[in-house]
Amino acid sequence: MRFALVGQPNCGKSTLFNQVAGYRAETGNFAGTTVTFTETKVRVLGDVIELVDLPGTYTLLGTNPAERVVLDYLITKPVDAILNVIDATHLVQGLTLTIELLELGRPVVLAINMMDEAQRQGLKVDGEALSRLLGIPVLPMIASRGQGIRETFTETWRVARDRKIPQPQLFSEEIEKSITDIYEILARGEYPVSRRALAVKLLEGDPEITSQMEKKHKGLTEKVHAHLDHLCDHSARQAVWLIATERQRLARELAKKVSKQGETHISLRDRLDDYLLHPFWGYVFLIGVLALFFSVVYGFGDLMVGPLVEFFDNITATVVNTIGTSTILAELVGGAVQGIAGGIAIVLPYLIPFLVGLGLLEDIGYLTRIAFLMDALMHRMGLHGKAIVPFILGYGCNVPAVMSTRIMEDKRDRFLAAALSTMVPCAARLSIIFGLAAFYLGPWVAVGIYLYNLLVIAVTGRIITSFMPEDSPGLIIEMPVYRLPTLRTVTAKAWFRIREFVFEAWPILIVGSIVLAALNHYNVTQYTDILFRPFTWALGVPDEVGTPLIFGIFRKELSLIMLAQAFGTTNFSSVLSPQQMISYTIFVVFYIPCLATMITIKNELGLKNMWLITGLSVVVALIAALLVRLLLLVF
Amino acid sequence: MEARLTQLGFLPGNKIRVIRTAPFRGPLLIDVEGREIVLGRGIAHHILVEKVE
Repeated sequence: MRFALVGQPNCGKSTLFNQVAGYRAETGNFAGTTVTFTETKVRVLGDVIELVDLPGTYTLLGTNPAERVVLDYLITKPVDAILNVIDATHLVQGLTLTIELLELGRPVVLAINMMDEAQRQGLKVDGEALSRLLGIPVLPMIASRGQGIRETFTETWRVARDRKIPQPQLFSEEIEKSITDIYEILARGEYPVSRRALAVKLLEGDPEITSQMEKKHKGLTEKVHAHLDHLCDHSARQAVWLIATERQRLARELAKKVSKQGETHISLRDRLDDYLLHPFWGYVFLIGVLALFFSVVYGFGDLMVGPLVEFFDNITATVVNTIGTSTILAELVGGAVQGIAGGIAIVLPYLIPFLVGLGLLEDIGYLTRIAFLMDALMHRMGLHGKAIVPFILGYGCNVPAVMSTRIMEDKRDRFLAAALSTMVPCAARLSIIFGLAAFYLGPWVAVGIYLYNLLVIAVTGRIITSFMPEDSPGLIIEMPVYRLPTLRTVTAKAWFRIREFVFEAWPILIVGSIVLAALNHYNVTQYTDILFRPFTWALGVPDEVGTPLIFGIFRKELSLIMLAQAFGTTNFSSVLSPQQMISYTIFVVFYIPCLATMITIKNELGLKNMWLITGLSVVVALIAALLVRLLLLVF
Repeated sequence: MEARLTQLGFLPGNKIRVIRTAPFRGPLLIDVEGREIVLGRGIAHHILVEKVE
């Protein structure tokens, strides 16, 4: 048997899925976290069930990729029962989708989730009454605490076994007439869904179903058009709107009958939002939250990086001692250790607290509020509020930053957000800004570099926008309620994201380190310096920095560490002038995102975009560094 | 676009309420059937409303 989990974004569908499947689906208090579907096997009353978690969808109109996935799946795949999850606190909206699901002519079970939240808000939902009205089993559930899940699955299994097809809720007479008239033309058994559902989809003008049906049925197009015209004349509205309005009317009536709102008091949410979204205090709080977030992440990272690096340096030393220096084997093993160390000692100490912290902000529901506050500013760069997430992430590590561009629907927006967020100085680049510029020239230089970085990113965004105009309509996102995150979901989510780094980017990092070690062994570095000569010449820095720049592609902080090796001294003030240090630091901050980030871009946006962003970053780095050099020459 | 708004409950005849707006011509926070939706000005511009109450 196969069950499909269907529900609107942020209704707790994925939470339910994870409760039964272990952690497989990404959850978040952010609309549209799931864009593809995940399958798992669960055991219900001794039967093995295929359970599929479909992306959250408000309706079955199939207008965006996530919805298309849901619609296609429900229409073409043999689903024995639909398990519909709705949020008790958003009954009307939830039931709109339920009504649409009932039309499909498949067994449906309705789970009303977040009953605890509803209770807190003084909302009473009568599940039994709703069950009678809809003619399907309705069960209360609190997915985050695992309550009501067993009962829901048992009931779903039962309706699937009995093939209990629910009666659809009827629309107004005019529309019903059109539906009946159209579905009578359709042949039986064409799809595993009811003919009524297909007729409705035809009236809604679903392009795929229309073109498939037109091929098989002569005269269908004319008939549908006649009805569309008729309905339009009748009400001066398009059929798709009429039907949507009808569904909402039905849902509103149902909700009225089965729910009772107790004492309405101003919710905690409104009171919190009065402060957190305040035109002034909202920003004060935002800065405070981000400051706390970064200091915790850096604090934890710093605490871990030191001992870990030392530990791996010891291993490298041991390796060299046992195998003997300057043999190719020692170099290769050393390279491998370096690669492993890069992952464990440099990336993970920042990545883990970052992802846990982000998960917390997301599950509490603050992330959408940041998007709300920052939308106006982000538009100056040709992006909207959602793009703030990759930017914030970028300061920790560009890898999760690029991954997080998934929350944006528009391809152009994703590209721009990814391109710009890779220019945000990550924790590794922080070590260069502080270890070189701030250490020798003072902390204000570091602050200056950070501000300059923001300026360059903003200008780059503007310039790209003039080539690729912003065509996305802007921000449309549901504002989630505040929720208390559970330890389990936050840690599981962090692991889910860390896994991607561990299994996808890290292996390549290790291989890259080994290759680099081999190059080093055969003294190829002299030649690589020549490769970078155009850059070093333009920046007015010594040729020797060429090789550290190549190392920097593998791991950004290597462009500082290898600088010591290239010059044979750690006192950089003796070999580089202040101007050279600044030019070098700025170039390093912008040029080529590290290998791990590049691989992530490839996975998220494709190979072409990876090269495009890489090329762009080199150009931006060069211009940004040159501008500063000129500026320093003038003053 | 129409479709996305429809999904979120922006339908002819529905009542909506602007809860708050973000500064610097930022987005609007709108109550639609008890659900709060953040809407950029660009889109909000295209929604025709009639004042009630």
